[in-house]
Amino acid sequence: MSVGSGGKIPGRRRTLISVLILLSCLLLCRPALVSAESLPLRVLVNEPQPGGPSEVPQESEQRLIRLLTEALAGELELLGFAVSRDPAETAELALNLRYLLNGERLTLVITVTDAASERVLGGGSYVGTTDLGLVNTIRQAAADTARHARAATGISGTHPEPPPVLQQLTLRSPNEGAGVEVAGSVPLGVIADGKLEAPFLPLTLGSKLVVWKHLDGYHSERQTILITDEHMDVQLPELRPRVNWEISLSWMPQRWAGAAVGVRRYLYPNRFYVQSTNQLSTRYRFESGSRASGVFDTRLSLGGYAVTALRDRFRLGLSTGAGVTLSLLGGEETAYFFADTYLKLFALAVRWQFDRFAPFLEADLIYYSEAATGYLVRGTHGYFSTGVLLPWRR
Amino acid sequence: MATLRHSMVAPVLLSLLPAALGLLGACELFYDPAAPPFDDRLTSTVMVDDVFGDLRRSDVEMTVLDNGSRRYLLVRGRDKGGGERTVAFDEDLKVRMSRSDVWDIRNAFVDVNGNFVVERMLFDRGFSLEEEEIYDNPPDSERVTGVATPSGVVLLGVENHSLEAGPLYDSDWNELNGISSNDIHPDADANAREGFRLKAAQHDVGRARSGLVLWNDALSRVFVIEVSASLAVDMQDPGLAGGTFVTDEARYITVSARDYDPVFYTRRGVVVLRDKRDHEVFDIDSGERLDTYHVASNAEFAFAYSPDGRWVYTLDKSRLRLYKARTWW
Repeated sequence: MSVGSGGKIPGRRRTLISVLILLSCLLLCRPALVSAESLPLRVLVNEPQPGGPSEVPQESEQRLIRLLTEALAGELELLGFAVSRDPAETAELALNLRYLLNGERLTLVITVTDAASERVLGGGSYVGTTDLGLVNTIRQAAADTARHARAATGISGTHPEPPPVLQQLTLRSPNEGAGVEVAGSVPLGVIADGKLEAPFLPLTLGSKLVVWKHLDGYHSERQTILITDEHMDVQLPELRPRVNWEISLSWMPQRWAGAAVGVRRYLYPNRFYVQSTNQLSTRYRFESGSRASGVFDTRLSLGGYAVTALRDRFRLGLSTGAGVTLSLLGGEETAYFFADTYLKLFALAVRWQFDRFAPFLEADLIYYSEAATGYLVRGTHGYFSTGVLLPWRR
Repeated sequence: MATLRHSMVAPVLLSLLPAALGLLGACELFYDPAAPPFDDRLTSTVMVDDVFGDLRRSDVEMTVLDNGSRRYLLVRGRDKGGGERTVAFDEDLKVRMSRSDVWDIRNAFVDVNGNFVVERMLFDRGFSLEEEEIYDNPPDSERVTGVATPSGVVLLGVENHSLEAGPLYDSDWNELNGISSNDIHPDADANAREGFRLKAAQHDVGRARSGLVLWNDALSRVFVIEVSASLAVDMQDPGLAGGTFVTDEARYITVSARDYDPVFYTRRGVVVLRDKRDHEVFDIDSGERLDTYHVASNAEFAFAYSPDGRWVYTLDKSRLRLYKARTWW
């Protein structure tokens, strides 16, 4: 990362500067050190580690690390702990801090471990913005850390058995380049070579982790992972491609001797579409005396899915449109050709989405007008159709 | 052996395919609700909006006259000026007659010369008017029809519980004999105030038989009585003997229907239109229902069947389009 010669400060660096100013203020505003308890717990505050690749200058990052350490240590001292920053000093507890600066958002992951056994006693993750609210975030983190430390040491004397937490999480996915986030928009990383090693997340066993997966050209999906082991290797399901074109193949019982094919273009992925449908059928009834006929129906529809359920698999849609039915009837000495225009007043459709196809049922309410060239019965008529939608082109 | 078995299965399946498709096509779910009835049997169609006005809220009556060589469809409905009009269409659905002073078309008949009589008007074979009042002494009944016999034309009317036969007219429409009363059916109470009414009559000239469609208010049933030319002559002179009913001498069926359900006597069965949706065909010998056609559309249509049972005419009262189609059974 470089600083422009025109004197502009890049956004990320500007954010970092804001963080440093705030943390400095926090330290300056800290009241005089109160007298420690007679036998305070000794806490070793280790140097914070970045939780992801850093894009800020090393010098600035060192200052951030130093100020985060000081701010947290100061808060812990205020809460009655004897805080040490030197790893050589003896301490009962060790505090590890990982941070991730993402735009205006600062994520802190804190773990408290038993210094002797290196077992995790507690911890938590905190997300704050790089404004005045960061002061509260650090104070909250310090307060939680103090509570965890005291609870852990109070349960079993000096070294209580800590609850088991997730030590390592590996996420695997066939979607190369897919981003994975937690807590809404906190990035865990990107799938590379089919996997992602998540940063340390101090989640107790039995808890749930909700991750969001996103990739351009695919539908974002949410997945809940149940933490069952300290080391987990989770296979994420393949993301569904975002389809912009579909082909519709359908059959209508009322025009049973025929079929329809349509092309659907989504104006908004998986939500709103425009569709052209063409149907060819005959009213020949395979009975003695029945005469051959040909019916060609073409229509243009505009529709959308109003309700989705079960992760978009089940969808309830509405559509409307207009069309024309062309009929060629064979008389005894001459053939008759009719063109009947109509409005598709209302159509209700249900589709069930599978990976590579989507069966559907549709009920249409059609109004045939009284055009002079037509012969179909004027008024509203109900039709049913069933078929399948196939993704055609992305 | 297995190969032989397989080679036999395919032809059997292929031979069953049309029947299976026919069954599929017979189910109501598989009818296009917008398609007019009988459109797969259509032979000709024509717009009648130049003759008729808005028919959607008016009664339309249709009947078919056939003298053995020419067939006409008579339609009575509201014309563009709002008045009642009767129009005769020939076999090509071309207008051959259009008058506003012809009313009772359901009892029109063919005389011994092959001319057509509607009320008292006589029309020639081309449906041009020949006489305004061809007879002047009808039976004392509201509606009258006629049966062509070798002896001449016998007028038939219905008065309460009796069928009035006569007068008899010769081929030049000279009156030969008077009127005789004949009891129609033993179940009809002669003392009841509400008895039979003549609703319609169709005449199968080729078989010298006519079908009288009667409605009995007291019994709330439709009677369709097939009157032969010889029976018509007998009923006119000397008349049926006391204690003998018309239904003792003629084939007939009774049908549970409503007063306003159109009924057509044809050579191939009696067609009853229930609510103008279900067309049921009954055998006049056994009274059994032979077949049913359900009109899937809920639109307003008027129907008429030809006396030979080969043709059905349909008028779409909304579109004002007239269809001629072959019957389905």
